[in-house]
Amino acid sequence: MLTHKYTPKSTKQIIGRDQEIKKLLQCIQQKKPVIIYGPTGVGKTCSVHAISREKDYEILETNASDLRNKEQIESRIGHSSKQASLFAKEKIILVDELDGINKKDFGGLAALNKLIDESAHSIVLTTNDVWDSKFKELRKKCELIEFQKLGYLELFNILKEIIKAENFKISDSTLKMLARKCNGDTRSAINDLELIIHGGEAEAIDYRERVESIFNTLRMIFKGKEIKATLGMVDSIEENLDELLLWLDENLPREYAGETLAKAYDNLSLADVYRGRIRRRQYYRYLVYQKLLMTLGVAFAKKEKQSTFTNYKRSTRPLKIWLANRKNAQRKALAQEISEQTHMSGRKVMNEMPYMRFLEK
Amino acid sequence: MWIEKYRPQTFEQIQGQEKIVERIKSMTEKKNLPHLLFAGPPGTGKTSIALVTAKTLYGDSWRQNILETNASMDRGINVVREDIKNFARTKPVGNAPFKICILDEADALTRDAQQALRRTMETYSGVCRFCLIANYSSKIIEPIQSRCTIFRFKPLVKKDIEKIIKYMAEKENLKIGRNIPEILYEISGGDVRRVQNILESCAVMNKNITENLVYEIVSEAKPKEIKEILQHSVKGDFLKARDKLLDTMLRHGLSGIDTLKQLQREIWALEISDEQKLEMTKQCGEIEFRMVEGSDEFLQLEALLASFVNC
Repeated sequence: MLTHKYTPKSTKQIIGRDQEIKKLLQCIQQKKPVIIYGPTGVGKTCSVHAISREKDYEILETNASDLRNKEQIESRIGHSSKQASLFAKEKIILVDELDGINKKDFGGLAALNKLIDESAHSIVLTTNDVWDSKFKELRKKCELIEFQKLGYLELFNILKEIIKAENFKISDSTLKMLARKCNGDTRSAINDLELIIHGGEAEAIDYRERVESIFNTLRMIFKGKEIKATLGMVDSIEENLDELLLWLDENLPREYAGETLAKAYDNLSLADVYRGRIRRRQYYRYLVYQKLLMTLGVAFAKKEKQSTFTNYKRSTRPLKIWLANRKNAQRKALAQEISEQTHMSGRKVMNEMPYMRFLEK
Repeated sequence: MWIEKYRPQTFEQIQGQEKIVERIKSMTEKKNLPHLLFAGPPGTGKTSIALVTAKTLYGDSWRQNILETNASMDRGINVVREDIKNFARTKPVGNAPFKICILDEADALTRDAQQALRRTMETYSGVCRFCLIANYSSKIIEPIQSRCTIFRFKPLVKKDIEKIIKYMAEKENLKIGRNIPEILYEISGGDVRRVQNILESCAVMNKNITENLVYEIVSEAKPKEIKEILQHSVKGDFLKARDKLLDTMLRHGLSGIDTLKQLQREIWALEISDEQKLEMTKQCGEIEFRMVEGSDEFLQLEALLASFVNC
């Protein structure tokens, strides 16, 4: 598997993260406990392995596939963290996938907290979401390093290196499209690349078609009023309905105005209600209504078919929301600490203390 | 049982999903498979392709190199952390390049169980490939999706269903009425398993498969009857519509939700404007929601029929 073959084996092979790797290395060398956090497929786990290979550390890893209750943590990790290495090397203790700790791992987090204070070796933890309230204590004791998603150009460069090494030719534009689609998830991009390499030219073309068809779908919905064809297109696009919803939302005002716009948004919002109902009740029959409202509901809002050309844009809302969420999460964590001192609830602190707005790291 | 008797045993026997079969076949021949995620509606060949892949790769001793699990087995976190991990980390038998762990009905795995799977998939990918099968890929957590190559299965088209029916009719000596393939396709919505089950149940009663027999076996009203109900209600003849509704439901033993699903489907075949059809469908959605939240099903259906005048 290509993801295995091209997993970075030294820090030089890790692209686009020089600052983070430098900081991580420092923490490891100074034996400061550290939490690496970020979305999936950005290199959290493999960076630690790469460092351990390059600097010749021994590494002890536990992850979500291990039972990590109090007993296990104390016996496996606790033991190891106090002993010197068998091979007289320095050790890294990697507690991977921290957010995989659940009810079955009873007492695990508390034991981990204690351990961090007593460890004679470097401890590295990784997680997707570091701002979860159950990690409050851990956050206080550890350095936090964020691994953000790679930009699509950096991803493109990584993919280019790989196809060069694999002696395979793909057009730059297809590679860029791949990089964009995978949204910063390096692992997923390499998997998609492997599929194309397997399938050759035909597969590459097919891939393009699948990704491009979102534009065709939008065109069908906004310009036309054909029932069967439109529904057929929706079934064939790779993007799931949630993404389509965002695309529709972003581009509705470019296409419609006035009463048509109002009607279309009404149907789109109703589609979203059904989406919420599916989430809450796991009753997937509502998918029929969500789909119909998103497609025909929007298409029929207009009186006649249109034939003008419109340039569709990807929604920037998720990115803006993600950025805002990060800021918000830091503020929330701060509010929690203030609340403890002031005998108020965290929410009250957020809402009522006026200078909370200005406290931003 | 016909669904097992006629389950495809080789790639060539699989109907529909041509592109997917092509890709998987070529990867199997090169003995190089990624982790797989098969997503799509029921009865479209997901489990069959997984099994065919295993049989093609391993030959007769295929059962020794795969672990097949589904929702009827215990797949809690403990099982994932122990049994599945143990299977994944041991070497394959014979000179197989790797083992395969098939997680059927993977969308029934809890989030925690899926979390426990992440690193196992990665660490032992040298000796074990995972094949997850699900109806909705959105139920699989992102880190798992990131590790898999996703193949989306579509419902089969009429042509493929017809081929399958023809094949079974030959082998089982059935007499298939002329409009039966069309009817079966409509009822099943492209679900092969459903078609096979219906045919088998019909054949038990009579090898001559007629329209009446089919509708007797499946608990569905004939499209004609549903259309009649709709036509009455659109015109405003509420009493006639309601009588026909009650009659149809009692005759076929239909539940409220089943009736509603059929009503919703038949709307699109009526001779009314597209906008009207959309409005009526929206009404169906609202009523279905009210039914799911818990209420008197018949009352809800009456309200639905009454509302069609305004659409």
